[in-house]
Amino acid sequence: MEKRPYFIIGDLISNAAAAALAAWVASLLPTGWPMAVEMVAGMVLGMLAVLLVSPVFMLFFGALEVMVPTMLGSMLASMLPSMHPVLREDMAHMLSWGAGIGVGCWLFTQAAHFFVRGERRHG
Amino acid sequence: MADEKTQRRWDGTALFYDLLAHGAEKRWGPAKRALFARMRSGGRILFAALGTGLDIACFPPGMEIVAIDISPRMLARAAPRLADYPGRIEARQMDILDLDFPEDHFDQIFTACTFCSVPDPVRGLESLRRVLAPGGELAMFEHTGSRYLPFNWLLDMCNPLCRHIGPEMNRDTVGNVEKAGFDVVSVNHLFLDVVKTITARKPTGTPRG
Repeated sequence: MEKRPYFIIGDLISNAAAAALAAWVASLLPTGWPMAVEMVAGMVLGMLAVLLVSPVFMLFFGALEVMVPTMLGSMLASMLPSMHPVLREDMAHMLSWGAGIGVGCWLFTQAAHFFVRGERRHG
Repeated sequence: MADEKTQRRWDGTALFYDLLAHGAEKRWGPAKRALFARMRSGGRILFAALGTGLDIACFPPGMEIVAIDISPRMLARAAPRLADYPGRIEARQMDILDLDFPEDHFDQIFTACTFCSVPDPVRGLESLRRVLAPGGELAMFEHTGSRYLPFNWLLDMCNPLCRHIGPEMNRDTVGNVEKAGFDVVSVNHLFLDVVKTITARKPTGTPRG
């Protein structure tokens, strides 16, 4: 498990910021579409936005360790505006929900890593 | 004859490579140092592919290493790091798919983030097997696809875009090592099952080629 504070803090910042960004970008889509269409369109837009900005985080904090959880967080957070349209009216609330989802996805990835990590001998 | 398309791609990346890899190198440094600590003094060691030489900082001192890379611009940027290394590194421009070394020449071969980018990974690994002595060690630091949901799905989804600007995200490098005729000794998962080190051996009694 990662124990260096620099990377742990960096991961938290990257994941919170990326998922908040995804939620915000998805909220820019016009409303009034069927919910499923809004969800998919929001997801594509939010993930593309995060894919474009994630290299900035990767410059400082790593490659796959940043990319994998931020993509997962942005995928989920970008569906937020279509699932809870009322959040569109309170941007601070939406961003904090997005950031929370990002941190949750990082914790999920860390938990998965805990079970998968380590050496396997072959043969 | 080097694959010109691949060479052009890495020549084009050479200028920005150190900046792009800064975070990853910082994160992966300790794990790379642990892997490269396997280098044995006095043996013939091949490092494929050197890039701008960022990995040289993780090499143990005093080794004699032959390092190759397909991109002359990458190697030009590696020059100061090659000069600073407290040992001897002979850098040569060469395509992994077309190695200009005799059969069974090296005792150890090391790679770092190489087989996410080699256009035909199994052929590339077969090429390394050809120049590795029977019983010789292949030690790799690589990122690969994942076996686990949702990570495999995410990496598959990102791959079409990522492969245009850099590496493939979802390769089965452990499977490719086996397909190329190596015996996999161990796989160490460093981040999920995505970032890993792989050690393998060329079987003794392997037919030449």
